[in-house]
Amino acid sequence: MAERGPLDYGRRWSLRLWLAATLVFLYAPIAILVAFSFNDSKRNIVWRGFTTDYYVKAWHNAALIEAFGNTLVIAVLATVLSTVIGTLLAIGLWRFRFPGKAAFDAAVALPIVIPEISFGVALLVFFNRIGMPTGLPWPLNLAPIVASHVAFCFPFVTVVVRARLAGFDRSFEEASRDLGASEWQTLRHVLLPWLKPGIVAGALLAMTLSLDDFVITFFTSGPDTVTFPVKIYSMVRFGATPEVNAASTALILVTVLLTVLAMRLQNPARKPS
Amino acid sequence: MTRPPIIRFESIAKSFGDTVAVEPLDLDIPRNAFFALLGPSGCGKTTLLRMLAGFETPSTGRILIDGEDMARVPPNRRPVNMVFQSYAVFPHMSVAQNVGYGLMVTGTSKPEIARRVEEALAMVRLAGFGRRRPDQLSGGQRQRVALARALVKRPKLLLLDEPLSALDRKLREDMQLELVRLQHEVGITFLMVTHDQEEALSMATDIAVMHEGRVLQVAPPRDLYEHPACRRVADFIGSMNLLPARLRGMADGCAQVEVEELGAIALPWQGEPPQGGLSLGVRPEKLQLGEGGPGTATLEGRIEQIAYFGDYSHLFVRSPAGQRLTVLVNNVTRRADAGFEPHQVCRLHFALEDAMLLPG
Repeated sequence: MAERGPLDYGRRWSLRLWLAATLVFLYAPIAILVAFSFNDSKRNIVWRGFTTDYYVKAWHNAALIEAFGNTLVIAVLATVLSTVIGTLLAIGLWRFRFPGKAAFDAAVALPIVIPEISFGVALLVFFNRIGMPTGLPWPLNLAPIVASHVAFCFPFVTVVVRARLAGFDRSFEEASRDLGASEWQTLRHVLLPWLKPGIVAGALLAMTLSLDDFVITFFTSGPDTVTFPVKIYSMVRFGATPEVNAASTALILVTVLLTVLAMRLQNPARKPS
Repeated sequence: MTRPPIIRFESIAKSFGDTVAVEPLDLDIPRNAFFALLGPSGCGKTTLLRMLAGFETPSTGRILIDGEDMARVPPNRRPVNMVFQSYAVFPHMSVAQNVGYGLMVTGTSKPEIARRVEEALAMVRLAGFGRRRPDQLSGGQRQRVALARALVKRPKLLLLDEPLSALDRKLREDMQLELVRLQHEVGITFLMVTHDQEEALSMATDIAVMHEGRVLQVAPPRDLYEHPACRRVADFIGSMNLLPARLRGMADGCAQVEVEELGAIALPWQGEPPQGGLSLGVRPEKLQLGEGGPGTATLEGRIEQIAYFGDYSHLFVRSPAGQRLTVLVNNVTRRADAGFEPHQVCRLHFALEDAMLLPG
């Protein structure tokens, strides 16, 4: 038998089978979800023929569209805020030494490891305690949800940006200063361009987390601030119709588009300048 | 009125916590010199350079650049520019953007930047490379970009941190000549930090030898090599045969010393009689085989080993008193080092004027 390099293992049928099984395990549920969004059946258990009716129905479901709008507004605001806070925190922790830094550093990771359900309850209690006003006009009534999302998203941004910072050569910073740049100019022209891939990746992560968050949002949303995942959950309780599938497929599409966009931003085709 | 030296260190010292990097020292760097700070790693030479650039604050003392105290001047306002050991060419900018960076951040107009960048690139022989990205350049080219980027600012002083250490041997030799040419061309004072004595000797007009945070000697290359101030300098610059010597007395500007292998000899000595240990030093290339005439000293030894380097060979000779001496034989003919064998007894001589007395 011929020698096999590491790349030749893909030729073994046993490994190919394993790969196929893994892909099925990962993507079959999503494929079924998408397929059944076109199912011409109310109960959505057996396939009864192709239709796009449920997309139309979902589109005309005012409550669902409102929830979708809420989710997008929350995701955009939470992403922008947590990206700014997370990036600044990463730079601060990298750049400065201050008393209690080690403890602070460890505390930053807490929202990542704390069970979401506990975090959700904690936020609910917190907003009650401080007497967060309810019944504010849109979009101000989304503020508690945005704040909650920022609270659990920004540590992810910090972690990603810090990983990128670890590879930053301090002599780039010194070279910039040496050539006459102020600290701000150095941040703008040298450090931030270096961090850009990390910041984009962090922002994308934050956006994805915010878009599909259910547990924490469930505890911090009220009757007039329903988000998309919360709305879908309540729809499923009255039966999983193809309308739910259609709405979920739309959310998947948004996420995939965002990912493609982010990848484009990270690796722009090199233009001759 | 004479102009002040371009750089003056006044009782400058630096310690990091309990570690002393630079002992209090005074040092002047003359205008238009190609000055080298030479020493082993950890001798404080890089700390001195970084204090000049403003990246470290001296613990005590003052640094004057062109007569101006630099204490409160941040790195971006100092009239010095640096070529980093790692070059630190910004990876996300083109060559032209890198070179123009220092002009851009200080608000130079675009046409002016374009003109000066082109000029600087031509100076380092990279004309036409402006649009390239740093990852498309070789190590030598990246260094030229770093050089152009620093020189385009027209600094009063260019700092070079181990400029040749990352280049391979052939490129290093080219770059040595190139740097000397550039220094002549732009007429700016160059201050180079290096641990490579050959680099310092061949490029610099003046060298300061540093050891453990102190400056041992400041001199032009030739003086440093032929008249080292102490044993440590002699040992660090080139190689040196050392024979222990005892002082017998002083007479007519000469020190009378006794060397076991040679007996009593007199060598010129200026100033105070030397205190402490003394050694007689002779460079390997100044030792000749065979019997010498008047004005020379002769000693006997046994050849231990012969090392062949192509253009020259080293004979390692053990003296009767047990000192190991190195003799350099230039292979001016193909058979110049033939006829020597280990264990063979031989005689060596050197001109007394080529020997030196070294304290320490």
